[in-house]
Amino acid sequence: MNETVQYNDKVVQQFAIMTVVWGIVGMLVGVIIAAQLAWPALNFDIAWLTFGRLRPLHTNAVIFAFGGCALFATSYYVVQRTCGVRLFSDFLASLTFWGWQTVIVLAAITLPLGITTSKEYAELEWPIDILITIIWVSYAIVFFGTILKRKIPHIYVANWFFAGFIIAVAVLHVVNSAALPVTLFKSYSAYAGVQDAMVQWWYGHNAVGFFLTAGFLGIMYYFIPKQANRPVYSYRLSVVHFWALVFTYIWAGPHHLHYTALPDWAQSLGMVFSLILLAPSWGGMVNGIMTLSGAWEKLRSDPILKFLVVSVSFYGMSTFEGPMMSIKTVNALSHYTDWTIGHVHSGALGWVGFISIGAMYYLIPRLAGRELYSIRLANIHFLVATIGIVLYITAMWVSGIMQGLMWRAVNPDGTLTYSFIESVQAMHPFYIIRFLGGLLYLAGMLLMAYNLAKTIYSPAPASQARAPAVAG
Amino acid sequence: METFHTIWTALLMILFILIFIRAWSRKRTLEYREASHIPLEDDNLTNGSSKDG
Repeated sequence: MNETVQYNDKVVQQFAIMTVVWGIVGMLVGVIIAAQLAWPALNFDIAWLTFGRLRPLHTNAVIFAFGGCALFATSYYVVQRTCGVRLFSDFLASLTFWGWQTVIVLAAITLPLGITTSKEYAELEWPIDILITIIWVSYAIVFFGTILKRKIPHIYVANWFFAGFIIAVAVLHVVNSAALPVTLFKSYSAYAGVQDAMVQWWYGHNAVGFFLTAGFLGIMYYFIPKQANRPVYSYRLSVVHFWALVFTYIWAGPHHLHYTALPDWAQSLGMVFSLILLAPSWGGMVNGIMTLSGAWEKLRSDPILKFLVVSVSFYGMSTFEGPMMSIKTVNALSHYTDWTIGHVHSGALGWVGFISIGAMYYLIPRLAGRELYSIRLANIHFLVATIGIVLYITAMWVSGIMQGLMWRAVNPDGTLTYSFIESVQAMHPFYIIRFLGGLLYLAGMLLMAYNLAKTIYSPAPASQARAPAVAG
Repeated sequence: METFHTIWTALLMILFILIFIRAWSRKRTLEYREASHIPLEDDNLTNGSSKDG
């Protein structure tokens, strides 16, 4: 290979910077609504500041804005380097950036206004859904086009995870968003009753499985080996991890509908596949952590590795907790309680958040051609964010289990031991602890933004103007 | 329709087992060893060399 190819790192940098920006916005909204749960007067009786309007804004911002931008940035970075070629189309790559930012801004406008389909994690109305589809198809063309013109014959496993994520999300989005528009801002689902619920949670759980898991596993399989400077512990295991995840995840959605009108066999099917999922998930976790085998000492001094490896530990924890919660008898206690919120946030803050943060600390200084401004600040970020997560999830575990036990407690005469409001009162201290945990996590994000901004705006090293990355 | 679903599920199961066997086949050892080094070598690519160069 004699020709020189210049990577398209502009779009990677754009998405990477917006990952940090949207992370702060999404988590700030999360802290605001956490405060509202502890002190309800904080909605100031303004409709668009109420919990019901801001909560979907929070979930959309952290999942699709923060998480989405992290996935775009890392997948574009990884696919170029592991294929040895530039992105398939600069125009389409740029379209995905500006299109995705447009979707995020439209979500930030419409959701507080109460314009929503009311489908969880799919609240955006039909014109925005169509825009998402166009952007996603463009993303698929760029990604698969780059794979097709690769100069390295083997498709590295991280790209399989990214590919699985792109295809699955496309199918999930199109099927779940099928709707009949009645006005520009209102549509009704194409499905009715329990079928609508089943399609919604087939989508909802696989948004977790493919958007928040498969995509981020792509990040794990590239950035941990890269930062540890060691090959992945078992490449065979990574291949089986991918296929086992793809084969099983898609079936697990019904566990969100235990004890509902969904047929019992479908609920049991969802439970069984959720339990099976433990095997590939833990296989992947072991593979990620054992990649550090022989290089454990790096964990002492390298904040990027700390974020990456602790994220994988949270992945293991969440993927143990999830199958356990899908068991019907456990679910009878946990469902509709704060335990679920704790579970979701150990995955979101610990797994998705930390692996994205680690990847951004890796990417942004390199793309700017600078050293990270402060390793110490990054270490403080790690400490503050970890304390924040622990406060958050333990508060929600305790609150959730207490809530479930209070709801099911009955007196000898069969009457309820506690009224609903008594359970709300009992949860109040834990809501304050959760707010503090979220506040610490947000403070960590602000530290990161400061650290990375100082990195980008620091003077270029005298010895080098930034050399473009090239593939030979 | 139920028969179709049963056959389809069984075929998928067999396909998964075949993928598993293929992944653990000795024939793949060298390929996978090289593949696992791809992320570590992409910095070398930026210096103008590659595995297939």
